[in-house]
Amino acid sequence: MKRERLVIDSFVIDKPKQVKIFEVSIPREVQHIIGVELGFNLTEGTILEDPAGGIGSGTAWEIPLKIKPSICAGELRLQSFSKANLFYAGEIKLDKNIDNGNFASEFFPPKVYTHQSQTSEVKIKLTCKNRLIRCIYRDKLNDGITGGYKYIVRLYLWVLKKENEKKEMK
Amino acid sequence: MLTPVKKRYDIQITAANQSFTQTFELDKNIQVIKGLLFTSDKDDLLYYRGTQRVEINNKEYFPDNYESKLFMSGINVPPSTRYYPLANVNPGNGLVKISYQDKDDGRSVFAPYRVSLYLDCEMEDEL
Repeated sequence: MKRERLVIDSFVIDKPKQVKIFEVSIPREVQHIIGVELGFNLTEGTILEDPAGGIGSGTAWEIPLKIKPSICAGELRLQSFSKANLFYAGEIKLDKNIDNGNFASEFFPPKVYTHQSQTSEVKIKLTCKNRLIRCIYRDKLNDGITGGYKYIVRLYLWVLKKENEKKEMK
Repeated sequence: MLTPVKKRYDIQITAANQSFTQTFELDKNIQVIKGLLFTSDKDDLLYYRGTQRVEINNKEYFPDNYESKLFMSGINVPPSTRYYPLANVNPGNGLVKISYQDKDDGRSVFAPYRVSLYLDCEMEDEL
């Protein structure tokens, strides 16, 4: 029987423009990698806030229609040692446009934790002939933050694993 | 006949940077778990600080360090699609174990909060 399982790896970034290259080992029973997700946990540092608009900013509120640049914390690439080679490239983005076009945002300012859309993994299908995946992470947060910072990046690899078990449901 | 039912279980997070483990027991007439969802009375703390492990019937479905924000749905997601789908999990002994870990994040300040687990289940309505 095949079951979806997760392989989680995390690493710390504490220097501006840091590049981290490491390898994630995939368990032997894994047949395919079927999805990738990324997580971000800021442990030190303060992210720059939007300069104007919304409650408490001191300026008159107006419907947010201007697109603000989102902050890119970094980009991750995954490389397989088999034929697929580079099979994933993704960015960790801190969304600054969650309130865009929201006419109710004067009284209920949208935040990522209230108005985020549903999260789901990026679907891929990679046959695991090689047990190692190379990860290359490049930090880019220094543009959107003041002073020093430190954060944890989590990499979630959804895998399809062969398991000897009875069937779950009829 | 199977009837859809939603179950809610709460964990109180009373201290920062600590782990809270709780095991909940489902009703005996629950036959299938179809999905799960995490919410909180302080959404920002759950979103930025939370990670958890989820075990159903002694089987690990989500390992340690799986971020809570990946289970959350915003208010702009249609209510009918807010649950994280599980492929019709058999509840077995009915035990759902949650190990929740709170961890400092630069974008939030700790205050005690509640983490709620919602399960989308189907139950046998005639025993």
